[in-house]
Amino acid sequence: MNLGRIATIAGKELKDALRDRRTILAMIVIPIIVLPVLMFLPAFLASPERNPVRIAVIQSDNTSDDFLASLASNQVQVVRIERTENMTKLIQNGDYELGMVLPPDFSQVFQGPDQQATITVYVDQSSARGTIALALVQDDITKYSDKIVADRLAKTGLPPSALTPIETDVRSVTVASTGALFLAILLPLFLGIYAVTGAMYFVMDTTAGEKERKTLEALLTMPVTRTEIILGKFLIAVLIALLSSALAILGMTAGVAFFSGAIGEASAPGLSISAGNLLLIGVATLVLAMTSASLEMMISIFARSFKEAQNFLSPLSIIVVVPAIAMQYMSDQALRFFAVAPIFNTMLIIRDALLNRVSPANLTLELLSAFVYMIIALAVAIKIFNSEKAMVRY
Amino acid sequence: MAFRSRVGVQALIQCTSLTKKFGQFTAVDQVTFEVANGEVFGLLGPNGAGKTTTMRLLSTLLKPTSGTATVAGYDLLREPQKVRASIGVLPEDAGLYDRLTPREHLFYYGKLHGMPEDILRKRTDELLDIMELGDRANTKVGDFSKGMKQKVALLRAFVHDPPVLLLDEPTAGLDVMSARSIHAFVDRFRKEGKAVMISTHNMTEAQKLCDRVAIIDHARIVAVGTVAELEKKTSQKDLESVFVQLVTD
Repeated sequence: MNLGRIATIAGKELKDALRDRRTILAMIVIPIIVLPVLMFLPAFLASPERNPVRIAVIQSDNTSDDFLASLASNQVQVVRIERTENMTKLIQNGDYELGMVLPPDFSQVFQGPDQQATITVYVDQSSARGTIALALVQDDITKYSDKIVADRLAKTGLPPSALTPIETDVRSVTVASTGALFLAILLPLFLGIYAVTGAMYFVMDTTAGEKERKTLEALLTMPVTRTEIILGKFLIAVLIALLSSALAILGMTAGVAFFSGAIGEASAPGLSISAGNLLLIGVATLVLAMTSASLEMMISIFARSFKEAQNFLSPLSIIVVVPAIAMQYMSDQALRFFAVAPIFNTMLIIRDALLNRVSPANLTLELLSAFVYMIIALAVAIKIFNSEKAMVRY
Repeated sequence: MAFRSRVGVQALIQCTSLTKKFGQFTAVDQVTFEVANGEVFGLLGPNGAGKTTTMRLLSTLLKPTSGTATVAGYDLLREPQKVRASIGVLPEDAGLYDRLTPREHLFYYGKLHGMPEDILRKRTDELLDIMELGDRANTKVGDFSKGMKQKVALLRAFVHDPPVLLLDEPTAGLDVMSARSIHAFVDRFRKEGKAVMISTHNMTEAQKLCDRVAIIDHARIVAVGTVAELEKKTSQKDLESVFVQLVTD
């Protein structure tokens, strides 16, 4: 094996990949622009702080003026409409997010302890903005209602606590902040997805694509071993996977910062990672990227064309999501059995490092198994590259 | 320059009962021939006769099922790296990287052949000028015509100045001018004492270029000799008639 020749091949692959607009699109534009926008823009646009929800109100008389005044806020825009208007139609047409019909003689609720008023609400709960409007309005109604209750209790001489004989006092023992938990779910998922799929396009292009365009044939007649060829390509595949993972994380962090306010608490992750844990996350991502690059190369070299390689490889991008989602629903005890399962092991390392709860015993098992898978995958890929059947399949 | 043949070798290509089977199908069957220094040898045959497979065996792309061959004195099976270092291959399809320029191609393949950068730089400029590609040296080959691509692919084949050249259908689909410049190169190779093997089904080209030809049909060589010898043997007046007689027999 000659390192100079491996470097020559890697250098050419990198140059070729960087000149390919599709690689740039997949490696840079999608993770740092498209993905964060797709993830955060809907929440941003639906946010009532940016864009207040519009509520149509039909008043039977002016006795509900005080209540209406309590509704108006920077998140809610109240519009009084005529009694003759068809509320259902207005909501269905999207003119308003919510409609409200206030009964006559509304202020009577202040008069006696047994008086009750019914507000009719029209809303399309299948729309995100409708749901937001309903939550806001119900919140305001509850507050207004609580005021009346307090008033009624005061008249009878009872304190407000008379209504809540039992209170719940929740003491959170979560070590990490809610923001860290949010990232502990998202980061392993994103790092995992990008480590596995980040270089997929490049791998297909540089194996099946080279075969299809017949450039591989010329390369195979050079005084280079097939092991050197695969290693040169492998290096760049891993580099691209790592770069796109890093850019995806950058994009997500930037997205959270840019659209903050729109998604509540998650906007302030307050996550601090020690250098050691950061290194651990890097190593875990690297090993996963190396394993998947080997796996993808060995599969796609069997394909005759780029299209065929796409068919072979696309299930991989779905498989990687499974552990990430399964992890959310599994107890730590159950997950211990998955410490040696591929992809699970890497995602567990990343999650534990993020939550600052790395245990040396688990880590050894997870890291060791990840390395073993990587070495097996790379060895098999090298073997396949050296087989005539895979390389010269016309 | 980069690589020479083994000292004292007379026949630069020597095939002995070379056979290649793909499962039940025999693509090349007991093929035996020699190509000497300074000789242009044509491999003629109909489509699917085994020309390209023979070329691929000699370029170590495929491993023979039985039999063997030496190229520049090196054994195909035992010294494949040395075989690859001493050949220049022009495959059936040019197989160039669309996003690289001619200069980058020559540089890449030259480096893979282990050529030092300063020599390679000089050689690249020289070759691009000879092929009249100097003004397009830094244009990506994706924008090139078929003829220009074929020229770049031919330069790639001899950037390292190999003693043996394997050219598979070198002028297929090219216009007259492009074909002529490729022919000029083949003449030049002969004068430089290289062994050139050309696979073709263009009889005029074979007659014009080749010192000797082998006619291959259904994986077997049915005749080898100079064009004149084959004409005499079959009592035909031209190579095309010789070919038709031997292949349909």
